[in-house]
Amino acid sequence: MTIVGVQIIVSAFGLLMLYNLFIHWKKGSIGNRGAIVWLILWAGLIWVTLFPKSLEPLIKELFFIRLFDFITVTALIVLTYVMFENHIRINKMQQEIEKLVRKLAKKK
Amino acid sequence: MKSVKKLAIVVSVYNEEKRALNTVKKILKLDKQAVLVLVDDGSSDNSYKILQDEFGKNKQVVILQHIINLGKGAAMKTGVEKAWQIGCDAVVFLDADGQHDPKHLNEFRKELKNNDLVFGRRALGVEMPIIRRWGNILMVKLVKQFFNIQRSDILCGYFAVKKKIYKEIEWDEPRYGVEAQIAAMTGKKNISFSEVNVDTIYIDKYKGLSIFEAFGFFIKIPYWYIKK
Repeated sequence: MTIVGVQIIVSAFGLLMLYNLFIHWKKGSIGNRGAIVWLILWAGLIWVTLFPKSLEPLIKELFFIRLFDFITVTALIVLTYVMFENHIRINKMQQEIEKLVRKLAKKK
Repeated sequence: MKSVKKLAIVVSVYNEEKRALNTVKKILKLDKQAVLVLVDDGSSDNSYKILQDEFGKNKQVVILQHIINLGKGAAMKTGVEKAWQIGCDAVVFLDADGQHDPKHLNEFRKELKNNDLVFGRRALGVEMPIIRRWGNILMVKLVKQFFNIQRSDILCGYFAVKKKIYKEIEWDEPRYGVEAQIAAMTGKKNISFSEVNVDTIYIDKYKGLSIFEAFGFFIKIPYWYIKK
């Protein structure tokens, strides 16, 4: 098995993110469920980077020509989902903060 | 149409320690009946302290403070909710920075006798910085196109509303887009209104809505369109 530069960079990034995830999990800033989801994502990225051929049957089944196309589409879906979730949560938090600040202001 | 029994003047204040005092003094000199609701929107300067020291004991004045900065729209909402809480049946909004001359307050009061909603209208002439003028023109065209409202100055924050129609135009835009959202809701719900000509005064070139922010409203228009 020959490993090319891009595989080293991506898998090193994946490992770094796994370490980052472990630190946050230890600190308690991410719950067990969230940690498992991210663990699957980062470990999956490392696996796909190091063993791209393992996904070939799936790629053929889904009519993708190259593995890279499949990864790009998957990454875009994940990113869009995370962005949407973040947007909803930030919006909700903003509304809650606004309510609280208004309640405090009107109390006087 | 019922006339206004108790009027509140809501002034949102954000980092205006140099100008707010003068604006409030002017209002109090011109209107001795209205309740003045001052909302300090988490200023980082001494605006709140200055206002509290000067008007804290004045029974005509209610001073509120946001512990953090939320934005002009949020401050206006806090002010209007307080006004309803203390029994007012109409409010006039104006800015603390001196861009809205309190001399027009009486005209708003007169217009409120026959209208539930009264907007200020500035002449979009050379007094307005070019980037603001373009932002305003763009917003006028957009809001007119989507919400069928005929107003020449959508972004004027000097306006009055009666309690009975407040829920119809209630905004959730926390920052400078509040005026555009109110215009959109007015057009969408076909609420009748009148307009009062007010002076165009621009003191701070960098405050308010810019053309770039106006472009940002493109994505908010569909939301205003479906909002009840």
